[in-house]
This record gives sequence, structure tokens and C-alpha cells, in this order.
Amino acid sequence: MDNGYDADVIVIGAGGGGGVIAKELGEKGIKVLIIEAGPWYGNSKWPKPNEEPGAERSSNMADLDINLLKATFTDLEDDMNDAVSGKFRWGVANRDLSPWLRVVPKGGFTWQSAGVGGTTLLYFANSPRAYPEAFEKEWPITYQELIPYYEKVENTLPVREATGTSKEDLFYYGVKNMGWKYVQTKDLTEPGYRAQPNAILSVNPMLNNPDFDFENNQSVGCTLRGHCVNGCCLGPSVDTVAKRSTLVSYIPLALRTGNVEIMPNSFVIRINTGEDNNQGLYAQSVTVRNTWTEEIRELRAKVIVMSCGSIETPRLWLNSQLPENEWVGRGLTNHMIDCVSGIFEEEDLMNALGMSEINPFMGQNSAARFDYPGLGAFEPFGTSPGINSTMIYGTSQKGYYFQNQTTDEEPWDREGIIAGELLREFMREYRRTLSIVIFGDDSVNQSNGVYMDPLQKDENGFIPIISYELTKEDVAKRDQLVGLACEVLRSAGAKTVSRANWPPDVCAHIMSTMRMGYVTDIDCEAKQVKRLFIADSSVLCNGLGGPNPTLTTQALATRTAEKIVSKYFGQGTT
Amino acid sequence: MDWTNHDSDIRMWEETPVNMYLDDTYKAFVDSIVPRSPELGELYGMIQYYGALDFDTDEYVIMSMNSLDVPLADVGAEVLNTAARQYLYERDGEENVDSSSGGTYFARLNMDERLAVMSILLGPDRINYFPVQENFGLEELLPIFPIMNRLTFMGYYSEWWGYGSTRSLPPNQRVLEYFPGSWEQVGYPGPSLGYRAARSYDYTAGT
Repeated sequence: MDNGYDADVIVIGAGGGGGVIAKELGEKGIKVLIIEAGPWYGNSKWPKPNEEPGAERSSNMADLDINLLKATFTDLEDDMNDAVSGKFRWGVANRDLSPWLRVVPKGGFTWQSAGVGGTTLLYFANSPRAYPEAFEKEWPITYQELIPYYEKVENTLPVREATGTSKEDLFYYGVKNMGWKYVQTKDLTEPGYRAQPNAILSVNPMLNNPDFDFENNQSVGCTLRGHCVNGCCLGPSVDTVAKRSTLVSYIPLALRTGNVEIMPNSFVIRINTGEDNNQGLYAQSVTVRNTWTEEIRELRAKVIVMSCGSIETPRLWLNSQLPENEWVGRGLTNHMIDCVSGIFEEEDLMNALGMSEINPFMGQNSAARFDYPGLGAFEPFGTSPGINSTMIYGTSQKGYYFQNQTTDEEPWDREGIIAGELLREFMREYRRTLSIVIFGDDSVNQSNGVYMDPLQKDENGFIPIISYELTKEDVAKRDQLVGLACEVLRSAGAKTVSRANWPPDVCAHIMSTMRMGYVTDIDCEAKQVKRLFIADSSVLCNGLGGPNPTLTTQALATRTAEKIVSKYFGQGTT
Repeated sequence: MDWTNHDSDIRMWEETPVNMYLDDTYKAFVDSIVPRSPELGELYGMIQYYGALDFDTDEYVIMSMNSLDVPLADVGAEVLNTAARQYLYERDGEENVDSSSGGTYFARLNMDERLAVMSILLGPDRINYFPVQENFGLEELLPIFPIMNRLTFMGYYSEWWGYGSTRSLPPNQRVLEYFPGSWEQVGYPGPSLGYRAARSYDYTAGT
């Protein structure tokens, strides 16, 4: 731009929130530059995205290349999801280099991906709305106010009622046996089960037809191939890929506006401010480090949006030495996730499903859910065996299963990491195993959050330490929900039920570290720094009651785009 | 199946130097998590016999730990051996804790003893069993053992072993050479283009 600015708005991060706000701003004629730390997959300007630097930026739909995306997303779980060297890792594009360091002291981990699309590259695409009661409890805006934005995102992604496979049918069979009812509404006020609202294109109606040709399939729609988590690449073009990560949904829409440019492989290490009498402190520019060349430059914009995720957004604030605020990085919620699993016998599966196996690798990774406002949510899931086994048997805060004596009151048969001969036996039953992941409704506590290590730095600044502890009340709620999930397995006929009991600091749904009303005003503009907005899950005010956070983050980002336009780009403003 | 990374230019990569201390310790560890199973082998066919030692999961764990920003494989081995030494000391007194075998206490234990040591490292008193490391604070040391556990699962049950002769190369240069043995064991058919698996169960109806 020839006015001294590099863009009207700089968005930091092209993940679940950044892609959305960029598209919304671009549609209103605002010039947007997205700066993304990770690679851009499926773009011909980066033909070897993990091996060579490629170009600097792209703003053209014609650069998107589905064949390149298919070559990159190999469906292989270690290639894609290895926490150290996977294509979806928290690290630079060049996989010969180490991932970025984070300290997670209680034995958990952060499951996030850098790259255009961010963590939506690997998410299951479950897109439920928040529970209204969670809004009423703590949010400074009403649930009602967010509904039109929910609708807009649901129509844009789009969100569709998921088609289930055997694992969902078995889950429904279990919950129905218990007498739970099906809930139709998107705005949940009472417990019940339903098909997942997934950001996945509907299944092709001809799919079950014996003549359906998978090899030469050029149609649009999900084929239940089970690779949501490993990066869906199914579709005739990038923007019609079945699973709607922002890489294939909002980013192409943003490019179509002709106003959005994306610069991958670029880590923003600092937000620079100016100060004047009129505004006080305001965001003025960002300092960016190229992850291939290490070149550092400064880029200016009229407005800056942080969409770096709930760990990096507060980290960037703190590393930029922006004003102190006792809620920056504080109040982390993460749904205190846990997993349970049940193994079924052939005969019981025949009775329930009319088939002898569940085959957890088939179908959308999760296509059904149970919501329980006041407690949280849980959902059946199934993935390829490396990820599946790590989730249900390899992660626990209770040590190994043989360390834990299970009492009669506990609805599981064993608890903890499954190791040794029993692991071998259980994994041999992989095809007859139903897994359930549980998301607790954890409360906001100021002592939970992201701290900066006072000494350790990487090339991007002081590194984050995640600190997370559950209150007694939260533990009780979580146990109740886990118990319910175990009952569902039993009532579906599971012969043996295992509880993992994950550590509290496993962070997959990472939220509320820059809470609206505390760090930002109700328009998501930082209270202490004008022209600095937040559009990611950090600005959520709490854990939404348990539902997966992406849709709400995206709805809020849609709203924030309107606020930015009316405040800084409306008539008579500059 | 579409083998991955076929077009990669495979260069020589620095071999991880052989280090018996690391080797022995990690072999003993992964063998404890995913042991061989003569019993399953007998019941369900030879493929079910094989365990982590056959699928080189120790190499995966060492490689992964050493690919972190601060290489951790040495510290991980140290954690196991310090805990094993402490365990032996508490049980037998001085007689079993001489360091004549290069400090590989963990690998010397039988399976039950190893599992007992590993339990301690995930138990409430674990802090007393961790080695004192000058360059590591406790909050960095404590997560190391959980990481080793998770890596063992991913290393064993993912496709990694199928990379064959390329499995120790940098990730961009790996080519899936054969079907992973663990996938055969669990009945995972590998990546797919789709399944005729849509169900039309009426989940909205009552029971």
C-alpha cells in the first residue's frame, strides 16, 4: 500500500479464528495481510512446503492446488500427527528442525498445529454451539447476540448433521438403552444425544452403492474414509475438500475477495505500539521473523488482530511487554479432557449392530455426541490406531492400570495406562473397541494459565509454561461425566471398560486466556491497547460449558470483523 | 496404497551413534510397554507374537526425544536408571547398586521389577526418584516420563516401522516400504479412499 501501511489490517495467525476474520474484513473491502508462522499446504507457491522456503506470499485462488494437497496429506498418522516431526505439529515448516518448546509440567501436552488452517487442520470438525447457560453465567454479551453469527458461520463452512457409521450406531444404542432422549435443537438447555454438527460436507448419497467408484471419484462430499484428524484432502479442488478446516473453507473465501494476502512461514515476535493524546497506547506494527531465512522485518497496519491461539496470543502480549493486566494469560480452561473405551464381544455387536465389528477407523472421526449442560459433553470417536491407542491407553495421571485398585462403585474396570500383555490383548480388539472422549465444564480460575519461563527463550521469545489444576468441584463434575460415558459403553454391551484419566494439562481445547471483559472490551479490542483486537479462542470468556470451542470462536471472529469496520473503517474514520 | 514421499531425494543422514547405555535402557522400556506375546502368537498366529523390540520402537523413542529443542533421550534413560537404582537400593541395600555395568540398572531388572519402577515414576512419590540434573528444573523433568510413554504408543501403533530402511531418515525422506506389523496385529487396513459404511439407524426414535 502506498500510504505507509503494509495493510489496513494485519491478522496474526491463519487458524480457526484468523481465517474467518480475514475473509469477513476482505469482503468489506479492507486490505488484510495474514501472517502465519507455519507452512501453507496445497499451494503451488510452496511445492515442497516442508523442505524449501518457496515464495513469500500468496493472494491468488489460482495458486491453490488439490493435487499438491493430496500429495502432502498422506493419511499416515505419524507423517501427519507426530508431535515431534509431523506435518501438523507446533513448529516451523522445516521438519528437520525441532518443534517449538513448551513446558507442560503435569504430564499433559498441547495438541496444536501451526500452518495455514492452524489446528483446524487436525480437528475433528465438531462444530456445536456453546451452551446458553454458560454464556449467561459469565459473558458480558448475551448468547442471543451471537446467534446470527453462529448461523452465518454454520452456513459458510458449512456445518452439517453428520452421517454416522457403526461406532455412532453403537453409541446411540447405548444412550437409548439408558433412556436418554434425542435433542433436536442447536441451543442446548437439557441433556441428550444427537448427531454431531460437523463442519464436513454431507456424505455422497451414492456412497453405499456398490458401483460407487472411489478411485476416480471427482464428486464433492465425505466418503467416510476416517482421516479427519490426519488432514482431509478429499475433493475435486482445495476449496471443496470435505472437512472444512479454514485451509479449505475461509481461506479460499478470503482469497476470493481479492483483498487478502497470506504470508506463511513468518512468526510475529513482537507487537509494537505508538502513543498519542487521542487514543493513548495503540498497536502500530508487528515485528516478523521468517522461519526459513531468519530475516526480521517490521510491518505496519491500522489495526492488528491477534489470532495466534490461547497460548501464543498471551505469550505475544507478554513478550511484547504490553501493559500489565492480571488476566493476560490467566483463566485458562481446557475442558479437562478424559477418555474411556469399551471392548465388545462379537455376539453383542451382532445383536446391537447386525455386524461383528465396530471398525473405529471408518467414518468421520466423531459423528455423534451427548451434551449435558452443567456437566459438559462427550462423544464417541475413532481414528487410526497410533492416535487412538495413545488417547485411550497411553495417557493418564493415575500411572499404570495395575497401580489402581478399582472399587465396586467405579463404573470402569480399570484406570490408567494400559501396558504389557494386556495392551497387546486390548489392541488386538481394536476393531471391536468403542472410544469416548469427555469434555468437562471446567470453571475459570485465575491461577490457571500460561506463564512465561523467566529464563528459557527460543528464537521467538520467552517460552510458555502451561499451569493447570482442577478444583475439587471440577473433579467431581468430570468424574460424573466420565461415569455416564462408561455407563453408555456398558449399556451398549461392552464387556470391559477402561478409563484413561488424563492429566489436567492435556490441552486440545485451549480457551479463555485473554477473556472478553477482562483483557478486551466487548468488541474484542484490548482495553489497554487500541487498534489491537483478538480473534481466537483466547478471547472466549469461559469454557462454553463443554462444547468444542471452534464454532464459537469463529462466530465471535465474524462479529469482531463488524466491530473493527465500524470503529476504524467506517465513514469519517481512518 | 499411496506410499508417502515417493519423490523425496533421499540423502544420507547422520546415523545416531551407537550407545549401549541408551540402547539397552530404551529397549527394556519399550519392551515393558509393548512386550512380545508368545501366548497371543500361539492362539492367533505368528504376527501376534511380535512386540516393540521387533518393531524397533526404542529407536523411534530415542530419535523423537533427541529431536526436541533440548535433546532428552539421555535424560530419559537417566530417569529410568536412577529410579531403578533407587528401587534396588531400597529393596536390597548396597549390594545391588554397584555401577559395574555402566549404570544400566533398568535393563538388568526383570519385567515385574521394571513395571514396579515405571509405576513409581508415574506415582505420587515420583519426585524422590528423579535424577538431579543441573540443566533441568523439576517442572521440565517430570513430564519426560509421560512423553516417553506416549511416544512408545505412537511409535509402535502408527505406520513408522513400515518406513523400513528409511525410518531413521529425516521425515521428508521417509517412504513407506511395507505394511506395518502393528497394523496387521490390530486389523487396521491402512489409509482408505472411502467406505460404503453410511448407516441409516434412526437415532431420533425412542427405544
